[in-house]
Amino acid sequence: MNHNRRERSLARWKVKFWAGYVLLAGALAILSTGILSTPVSAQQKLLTNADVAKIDAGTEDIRQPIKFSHKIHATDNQIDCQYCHIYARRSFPAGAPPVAICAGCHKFVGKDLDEVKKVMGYWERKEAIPWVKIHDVPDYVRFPHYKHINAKNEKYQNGVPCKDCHGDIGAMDVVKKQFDDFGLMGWCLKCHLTIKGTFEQKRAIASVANPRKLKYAKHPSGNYDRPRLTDCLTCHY
Amino acid sequence: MTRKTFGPETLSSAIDIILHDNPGETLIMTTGMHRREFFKSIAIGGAVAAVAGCADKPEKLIPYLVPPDNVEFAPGIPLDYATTCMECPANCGMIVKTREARAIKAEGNPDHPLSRGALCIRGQASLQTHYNPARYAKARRRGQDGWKDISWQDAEQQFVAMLRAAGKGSIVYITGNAAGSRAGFLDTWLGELGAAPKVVLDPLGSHSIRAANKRTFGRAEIPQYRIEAATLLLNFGSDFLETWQNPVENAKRYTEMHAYDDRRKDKGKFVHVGPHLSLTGSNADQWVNVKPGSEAIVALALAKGVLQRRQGGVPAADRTRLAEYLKPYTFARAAKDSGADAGALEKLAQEFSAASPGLAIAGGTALATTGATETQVAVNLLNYVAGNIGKTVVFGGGRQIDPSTPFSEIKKVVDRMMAGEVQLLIVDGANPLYSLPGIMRFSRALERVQSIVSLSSAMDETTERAHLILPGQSFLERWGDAFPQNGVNSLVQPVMASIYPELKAAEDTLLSAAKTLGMKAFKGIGTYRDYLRGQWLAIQKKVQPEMDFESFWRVSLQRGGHFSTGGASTNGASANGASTNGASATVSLEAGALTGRPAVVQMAGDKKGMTLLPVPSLRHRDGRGASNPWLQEIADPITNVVWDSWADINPVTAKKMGIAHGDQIRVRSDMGQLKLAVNLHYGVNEDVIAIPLGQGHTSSGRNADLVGVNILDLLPVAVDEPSGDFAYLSTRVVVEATGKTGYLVQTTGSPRQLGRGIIQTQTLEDAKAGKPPDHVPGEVHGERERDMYPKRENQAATPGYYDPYRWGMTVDVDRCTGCSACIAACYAENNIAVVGKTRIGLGREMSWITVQRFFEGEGDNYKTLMQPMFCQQCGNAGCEPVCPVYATYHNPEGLNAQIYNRCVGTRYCSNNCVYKVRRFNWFNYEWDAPLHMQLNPDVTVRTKGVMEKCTFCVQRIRRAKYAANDEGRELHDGEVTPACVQTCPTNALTFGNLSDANSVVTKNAMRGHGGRGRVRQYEVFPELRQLPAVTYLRKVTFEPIEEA
Repeated sequence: MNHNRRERSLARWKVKFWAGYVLLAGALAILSTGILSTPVSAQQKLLTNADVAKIDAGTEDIRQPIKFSHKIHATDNQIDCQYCHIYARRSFPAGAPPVAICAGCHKFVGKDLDEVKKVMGYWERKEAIPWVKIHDVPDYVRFPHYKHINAKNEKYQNGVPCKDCHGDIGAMDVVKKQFDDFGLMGWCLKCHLTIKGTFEQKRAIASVANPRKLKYAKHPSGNYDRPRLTDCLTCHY
Repeated sequence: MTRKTFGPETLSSAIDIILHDNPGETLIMTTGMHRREFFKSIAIGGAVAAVAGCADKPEKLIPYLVPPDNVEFAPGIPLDYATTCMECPANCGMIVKTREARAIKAEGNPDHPLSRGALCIRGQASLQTHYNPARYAKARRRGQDGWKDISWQDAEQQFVAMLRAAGKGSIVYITGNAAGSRAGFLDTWLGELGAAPKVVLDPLGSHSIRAANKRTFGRAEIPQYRIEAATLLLNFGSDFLETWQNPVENAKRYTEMHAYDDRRKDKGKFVHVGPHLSLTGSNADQWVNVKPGSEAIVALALAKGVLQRRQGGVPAADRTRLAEYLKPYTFARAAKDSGADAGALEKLAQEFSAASPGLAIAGGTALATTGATETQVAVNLLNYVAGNIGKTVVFGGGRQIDPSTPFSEIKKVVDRMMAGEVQLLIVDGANPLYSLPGIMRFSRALERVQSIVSLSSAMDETTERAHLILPGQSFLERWGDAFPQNGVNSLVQPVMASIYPELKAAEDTLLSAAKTLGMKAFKGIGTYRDYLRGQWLAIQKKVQPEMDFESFWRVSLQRGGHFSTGGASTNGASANGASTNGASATVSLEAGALTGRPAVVQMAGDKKGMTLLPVPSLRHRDGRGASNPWLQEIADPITNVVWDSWADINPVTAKKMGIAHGDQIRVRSDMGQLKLAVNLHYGVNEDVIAIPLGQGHTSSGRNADLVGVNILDLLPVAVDEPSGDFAYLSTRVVVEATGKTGYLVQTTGSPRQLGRGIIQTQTLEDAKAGKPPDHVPGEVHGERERDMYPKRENQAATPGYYDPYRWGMTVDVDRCTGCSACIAACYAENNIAVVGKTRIGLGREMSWITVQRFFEGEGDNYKTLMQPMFCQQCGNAGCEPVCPVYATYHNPEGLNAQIYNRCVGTRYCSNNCVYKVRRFNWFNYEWDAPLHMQLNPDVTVRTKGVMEKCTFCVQRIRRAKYAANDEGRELHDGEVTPACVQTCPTNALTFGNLSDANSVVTKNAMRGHGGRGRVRQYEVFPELRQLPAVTYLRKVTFEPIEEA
């Protein structure tokens, strides 16, 4: 009798034990979805080329309000990027072109084209054009356009050309991301770790690594790096 | 799955290359898996399990229609505008930082001679007044079926119709703001209508000072108190560090006098005479605990003592007169009347007569009785016999710090309303229904007014009763000016376009009505800006006639006004008090000075009860800051209470009454009763119950309503007859326990330090002698220099660290007054969420910087110690090694970086933090629209599950570095100023580069200014070897303070 009871209690305990395990595993799964994915809800989804293809096909609500062609403007008519993106050399955002700039030319140019009529419609209604963002970095990244446009270093004597990051927009009728990993941190660093900087301090910092194992870090080429840029606080704060 | 928590493989390999000789070596866990890889796999696995392939909608890219034509403008670049703070009548200079044409931060204007670059807690929080969710967006009219939004034209037409309908002399205009030209403007406008001049409502009026000065010295003005020139400050009840006159200016002057300085090797003494220690009294070196209403007797007894001890200084004729007059006021009598110790008073008289010079000021609770003028006269006599007039009490400065209408006049207006003589009432930024005592039945008076028009911008009790609302603009959207003192002409300009563009500033509404009514005085004046320019033309003619007006106007706007150094301003007033700088009127004793026979002021109400002492609130002043969430959320520095009213009762009294801390009590006067929770506080007279003003609103928006109680409901209508000031300290109340426990939420842990040495003190002798304390708490284990790891300062062993920058801070505890302006500045700069009372009760407050407060001693030796506590950016931090995802790590510049997008919310770091300064986001907190417009775009808004903490305003460091980088140089000392350091009125905080041997912060932290090494310097919890980057400087006291 006693023995049986003990047996049963042991069995019950075993059941409890395994149930606990299952619960724990379940809780872990839920936690990992809950905790591990929610804190980064500040992250934004970056538009993939698949999405852009949808825009192109016009099947999604993310299509651009106007079929604007960078090719016609930047390549065929040789308009400089910064003629329209007016804040790129001065500030953090490059600045979506103010509608006034569109209207400045299109009051006179291409007045009978359907898409131009749409633009002028926005202008006359005093509405901003709700463009869809293709090249986007998350909100927790501080990206100064002007530091890049005005960069001066070994690789770029006269600033980084827009197309080195944004791709050859000038050749596109519909803007797509030419580099699939645009806006991801590794993609930024891919460039930054290989360019010799002149303005940035030439100090090697392994900020995210074990601080006890610090060494002057060098690129395998033995050449150079811009190590301060691996300090998270450079862009994330 | 479009979400990628971390970068692609390129990142890992790139980091491996840069970080390690052997890629992957250090990151490998014992299981053979990378720590980060492990978490990454969990994260991705979990996310896959939960949702497959749901993508956020892409963001929109909204361009400007027409870009702003200001050439300096660019999105992402801050623009600063100089203006003047209008939160209280002190009118400090303010610089408002705007981003994308939105005001995001208010800072002090360094050019302003009174506030000298600092702002108080309310000035910092004025942004939330501007973005108040309770602001009206449209004109409104009350109809049969409640409120209805109407168009602005309709509203103006109806306003004019009401003005036409109202008979001559039946219009009353009540306003809360009559700074600068506005006073004259309103009176002219009302004069054109044949109405009486405006009524300016401020329950904290200081007419008793004017009346007393008229009687004593024949000058009905508020003098300039040159606290910095005194060596002994005797403060009768005023809360000069909180609300009295200009608290920022007072704090600056007070620190010059009181803070220990290695160069001066001395400090002045501050003695507080009064029944209650609020923030100001808690800073005092000595507290003379007197019964409320007995201050005049104490002052006269001191005057007698000083007169006997001090030779000369007073004309012989006056001396005999004074001796005769002061004869009955012996120390024994004063001791009997006030409850203070006669010996202590005698010693004080001795010190005061020896002080060269001293200064006695009166205000706050001392001037809140029906004997206010008598008390001020007594204090004037004390200053006179001590020879302080002309030295520390300077007349002729033209101080206009309080434009309010005396309460006795307001009472007459209310009587007229009651009698039905008022047909049209216009309220404009004033809230009489709240700020007049309930017993005056202002509510009933409102019923008898035919039409009520409100020009207030936000919801409040009075405006809710209006018939027509033409909401005005906040002071960040309109024009104005202020002249707090001769030579200080301060301008108010719009720093951004109005949030609600349909609305007009109150002045413009009035001008528009003036145009319709054809008022002659305003002919040709289109807007208030034009009117202002007209007024400033006269100023320009006076102060800078050689300049043309347009240039003068432009320069004035740029600087925030015109500040001439010739006036009796504080510019150049040095610590030793040598210069009086500008005209100072000489005064002599008037015959009327010695006519009064002050006695202890008798309080109305039940003799068995306690005296009710309403205290002006540091955070809400008289109630105007109550709808401001930051001010509710930031704890009161002394009691650490949030989102509530409380009653301070002495523990001795409470024990007799059987009341424990946090109990709910009922406070009953002849006028009504209230229930609230008790805070036990040794800093209150045993016969007194002290309750702060400013809470208990009923319709001022959701952040103010039903928070705390309105103590004005318990007060009788009592007036100090000679001056007409409202006597809010005039009644006794019956206090009884309800038997329930109140819901009092305090952010404090323990009220005592228990020998932990968090806030350390040092005696003045030791500080002068350069002698560090023999024994410091925490260092009992002895210096431990042995370490397994190389120090980061060692460049050879750990290259790259702290070169060229190591950011550090010093906190001079002797300068810190606990005013909490730094906290409000931090909330504004760093997008810190407001979480409310319940969650703070659970220990989930988000404030990155707190003012720690500890009490030492009891009774007369009761001392309050305060210091700001924030992330110490340790060189050997507890938080860093326990983070499983490297979200927090030691940055090469010595910052404990906290990377929000890496953080997964384990909270290990917070558990391991020695200083308990890390804050966890338990929820996604929201900002009620339009409060979100204030958010700083340079700082990430944290979401649920993320840890956060003080960053030393890394966004400012980055900005400054970008600017320096553009010029190809390194940062200068002082180029980066975190928000808390910028606003500190007493310069208690210094920030800078510890790697620079010549920076101010290094001097403060390492050498001291005398070059004597570390005398006052200490770190908190040195035995724990956290190696903080924040160095505290011990408070210097006259008597040694033993930690209990």
